[in-house]
Amino acid sequence: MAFAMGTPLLDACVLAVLSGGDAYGYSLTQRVKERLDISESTLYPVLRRLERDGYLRVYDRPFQGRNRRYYAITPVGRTCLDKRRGEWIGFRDGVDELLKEENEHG
Amino acid sequence: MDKRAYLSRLSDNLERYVPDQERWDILRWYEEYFKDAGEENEQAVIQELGDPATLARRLAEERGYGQKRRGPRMWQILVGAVIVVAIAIPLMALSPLAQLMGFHRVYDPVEFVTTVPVQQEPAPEYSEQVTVDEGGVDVYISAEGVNVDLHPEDISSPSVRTNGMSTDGDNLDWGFDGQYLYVDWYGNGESDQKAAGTLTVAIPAIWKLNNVSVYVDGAGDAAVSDLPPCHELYVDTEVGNVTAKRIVGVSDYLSLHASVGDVSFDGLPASGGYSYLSVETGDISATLYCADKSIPYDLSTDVGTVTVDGTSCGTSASYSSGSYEYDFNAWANVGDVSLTFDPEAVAGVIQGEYDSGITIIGTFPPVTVETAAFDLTQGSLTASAEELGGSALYTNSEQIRVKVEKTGEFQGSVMLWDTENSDSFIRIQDVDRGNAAVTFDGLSAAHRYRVTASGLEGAMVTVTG
Repeated sequence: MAFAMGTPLLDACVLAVLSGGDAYGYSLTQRVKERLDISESTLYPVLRRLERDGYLRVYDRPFQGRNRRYYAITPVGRTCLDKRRGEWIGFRDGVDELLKEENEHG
Repeated sequence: MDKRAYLSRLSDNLERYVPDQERWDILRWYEEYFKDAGEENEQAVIQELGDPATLARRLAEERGYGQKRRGPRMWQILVGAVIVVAIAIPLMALSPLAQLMGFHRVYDPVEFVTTVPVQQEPAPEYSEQVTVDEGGVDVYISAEGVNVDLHPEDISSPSVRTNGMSTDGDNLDWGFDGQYLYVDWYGNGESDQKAAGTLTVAIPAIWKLNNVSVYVDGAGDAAVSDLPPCHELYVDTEVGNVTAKRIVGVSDYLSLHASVGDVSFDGLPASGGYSYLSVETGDISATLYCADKSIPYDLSTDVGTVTVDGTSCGTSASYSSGSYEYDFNAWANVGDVSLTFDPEAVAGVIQGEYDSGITIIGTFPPVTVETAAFDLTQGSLTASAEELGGSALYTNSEQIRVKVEKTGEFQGSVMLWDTENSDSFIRIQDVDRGNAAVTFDGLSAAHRYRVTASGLEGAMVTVTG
C-alpha cells in the first residue's frame, strides 16, 4: 500500500481500541492487526509513548502463575482520542472531496 | 530455534542499543506475547517477529535509541524513584501503611472464613439503571497542592470558596458559561508539601451534570458527595485521600484514583460501564450498593488493603465482556482483601475468577479472602514451577536462592521480577540437571520480588531468601 500511517493516527487507533475496554499486549496487537497492517515492532513503542504522555496507564494481574500486563485508557487519553477523531473526520472528508474530483483535463 | 533462544538473541542484540531497563521492558513485552500466543504457536510467532537482530534494531530506532549505546539512563529512573519515595514517606500517617511496611506474614493456604452477616438497616432505594439526559453541565476542577470538596447545595449558581486562603488572580481562576464550569487552583509549585487548605466548590442541587472531573496535583485530598446523576466521574489525586460519598448516579464511567493515599467510596457503580477504584500505595474501602444487574467493579491497590462491604448488594448475576474474565475484581498486590456480602440479599450467583487465583462460584456466602506475600525470612517456599509465580516473596537479605528438582534431564530458566517496581523483569538464570541451584545476588534487602520458572513444567522449585 502506498500510504504510510502517521504516529498520531496510530496512537488514536490504539486509544480507540482501549476505550472499548482494557487489554493486554497480545490481544491488543491482534485487535489492531485485524484492521491495520502493522509490524510486530510497531505497537510496543506506541504504548510506551502513550503511557509516557499519560494517555494510558498500565497495571498487572496474575494469570496462570505469571503476571500479565494490561493497558487502560486514562481520562486524558479519552480527551486526546476525541480530539483526534475530530481531526480525522476533517482530514478524511477533505481527501474524499479531492479524490472524487473528475479529471476534467483528460 | 525455540522461544528462549529467540529471546536470548533479541536480548543480546538489544544490549547494543538500549539501556538495561528498556531492554528488560522490551523482553517482558515479547515474553508475554509468546505466552499469550500459546506454546503451540511458538514457531509461528518466531516467524512473525523475524530475525532478532533486525527486530532489535527496529525497536531501538522506534524508541529513539538509533545509535549504539552512549551510557546508562538509569539515573533518570533513579531520580524519579527518589522523588516518589520522598513524597510517600511523610504521608505514611494517612493509612496503616506503617503496619504494612513491617509486613511479615507467613504464607497460609487461602482459607474461606465464614463471618456472621451484619445487621443492616434496609438499603436505600436506588434505581437500577441511571439514564442521564443530554445537555448537562461539565464540571472540571484542577487543583495543585490543595484539598478539594465538591458537593451540591441549595443555591442558584455555583460558588467557589476557600477556608481563608487567598483567592486573588494568582491562585484561583474559575468561570461558568452556562454549560461548562471550570475551577483552576494554582499552587505555589511546591507540590510535595502538605495541602495548603481546602477549596470548596458548591454546585446548584438542581443541576443536571454531564462529566465531572476533579484532579489534584501534588498533595491534597479530593472529596465528592451527593452528586446528581452524570455520565462520567473522575476523581484523582497524587498524594492524598479520595472520598466519594453517596454517589449513585454515574451512567458510563467511574474512576477514583490516588497514587499515595486511600480511596473510599459508597454508592452504586457506573450503570453502563466500568467503575475503577485504584491506588498504588494505600487502602481502598467501599460500601457497595449493587443493583439487579451486575456491573464490573475493579478495586486494586499495589500495597495496601481492600475492604468491601457488600451487605447492601442485591442480586449480582455474572457479567462477561469479550475476553475479560472478571465480574468483581478486588486485588491487592501486597496486602489483604476482605469482601463481605450477605447471602440473604444475594439471590443470584457471582461468577468470576479472583486475581488471587481463587474461583468463587455458587451462592455467595460471606467470605474473607486474604492474600499475603510469602516471607522468606520465616522459611523457604517450595512450590511447583507452575504455581511459583503467583505470590510476591519478601526477603530480608540481598540474595535469593532457587533450587530446581525434577527427575531426568531438564533445561529451563528461572526469572526474577521486581514486584515493587511495576513487576518489572530483572534477571534470568538458566538451569539444567547439571546446574540446578542458582542464586540471584546483589538484590535489595527488605524488598518484594517474584520468581517464575520457564520450561520447567513438572519440576518442584524451592526458594530461600
